[in-house]
Amino acid sequence: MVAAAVAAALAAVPLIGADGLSPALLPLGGVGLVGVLFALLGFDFMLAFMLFAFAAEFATRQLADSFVASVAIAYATGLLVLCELITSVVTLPRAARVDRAVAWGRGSAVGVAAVVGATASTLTLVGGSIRVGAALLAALIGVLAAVTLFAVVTTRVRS
Amino acid sequence: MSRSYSFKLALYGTFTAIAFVVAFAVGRSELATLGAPFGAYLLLTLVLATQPHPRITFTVDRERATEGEKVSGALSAVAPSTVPELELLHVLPAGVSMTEGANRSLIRLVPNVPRSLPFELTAERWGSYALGVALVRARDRFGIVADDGVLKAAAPFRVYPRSDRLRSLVPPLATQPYAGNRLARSRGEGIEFAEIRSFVPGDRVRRVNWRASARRQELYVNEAHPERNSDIVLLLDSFVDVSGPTSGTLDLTVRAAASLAAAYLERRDRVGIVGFGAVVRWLTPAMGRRQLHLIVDALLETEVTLSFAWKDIDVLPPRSLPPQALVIALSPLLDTRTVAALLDLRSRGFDLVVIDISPLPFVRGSDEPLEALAARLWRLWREAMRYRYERLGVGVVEWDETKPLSQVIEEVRAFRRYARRVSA
Repeated sequence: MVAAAVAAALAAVPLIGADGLSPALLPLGGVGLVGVLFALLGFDFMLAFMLFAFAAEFATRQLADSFVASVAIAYATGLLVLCELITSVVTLPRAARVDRAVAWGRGSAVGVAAVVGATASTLTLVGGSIRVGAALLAALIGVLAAVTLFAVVTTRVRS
Repeated sequence: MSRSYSFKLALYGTFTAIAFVVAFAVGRSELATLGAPFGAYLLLTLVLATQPHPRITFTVDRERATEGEKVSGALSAVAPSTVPELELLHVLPAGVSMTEGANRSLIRLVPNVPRSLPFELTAERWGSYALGVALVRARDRFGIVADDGVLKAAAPFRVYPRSDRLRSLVPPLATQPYAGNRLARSRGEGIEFAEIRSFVPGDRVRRVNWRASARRQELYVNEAHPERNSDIVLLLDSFVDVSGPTSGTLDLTVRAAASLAAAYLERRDRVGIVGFGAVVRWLTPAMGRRQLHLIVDALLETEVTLSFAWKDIDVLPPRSLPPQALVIALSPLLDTRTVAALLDLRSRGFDLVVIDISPLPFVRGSDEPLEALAARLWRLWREAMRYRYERLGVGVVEWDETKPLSQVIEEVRAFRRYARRVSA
């Protein structure tokens, strides 16, 4: 129910005040909602459809008519929370004895996702407004960030 | 344990990369805000993910049970560090079901605190099983990293066939020279009075019948029937099994064999078994409790293997069919090799009884005229075959699940009381 409510909100938010863009946004929102439905039924790959459809809907609206920062942050966080909610529900084994601690753990993981998502999107917005004077320094910072990201993922996955 | 990653890893990584590329391409940092949460969340989960080392043990309260009995046990898990999600799937063999507890559990392990998942199993079908196989999956708290393993405790579990308690048994025509509980037809040392005869030198004085001697004015002695045992061979037809959803002819065969073996061994007879099928197995006749365990263990291994090779009674070693043994064949009488082998046994002079494990309850009826006619002909053929056995002095009694085995034994006894062998 929570996932359905979040999905409906994510599909509806870009449509608010988008009079001329509505014909373009509606199909994307519809695809996103169908993706949510199928993902909840156990079709994992539909999560990708849902994610990219909602992201495309938001990006289309954002490129045409910018949202305020708080909406962008909330939308990004909502997308992550929706994905986590769906995977939490879908990966819960059916006809199994589930510990209450596990259920709490999954709930808290969604909470952590919300906090991490909000923080990361805020920092990205703030970081986007920083202007580095020298182009070379900016490129260096970008490369360093990318290498660090890649190194962390590679070392953790390989171990 | 082998490590695997959720599809979320690829999805979130790809989405983050695409969001940043598009943001850079169009020069709008707000678009990067869509991907940033996914990238950050992925990083956090990968940094926090640790390799869990859960230790899983499997216990059951006993290794043997009879069909229908319940067995308690537990799957226990302990780990040196926290395991946020430990999924255990207890893989049960067909023939054993879980009546209490869940065979799939999702638990959280706290460091060094053992966790026990009790369960109760019901042994539904006889057989030899290996319990203690479980699939183990430990997930991190964010569901990105999973470590899979298989628990193979290989706890042997033997389910013995349910057996009826038989009060009377088919008496063999001949006894063996060993002491037992059966009255031999011959005369000798014993308790059961047989007749009196004239005294001959060498007879013991204590056996003189003084009352008869006084009346006849010459010495007479009592003669008795000695108590002897007999050899019983249970011949199990394992060429074919006609089965329904819950049981089949092989199940009934094994249950009847277990009941008969227990009853004959209780009466101090020597019992052996012959598994006559694609794989021929035998156990030479012996007596005692040990033999009962050997027979039941051998019965648990009985299975039907498809084979078209012709087999007759010559493949059996002579020791498995001792002379003057009573052969009790348990067969659905469907395979011509068994039918021919039984006729061969009778022709060789063996005392033979056939318990026809009826396949009829397991055969689906049909309203098609042609199929109904074929079924009728098949039934007639079976009746003709039974008549052929009866003409040879072989008691053939049809048995299905609705009748108790003791009733079948009584029918065989009644037949043998009056049967006369016509011709071989």
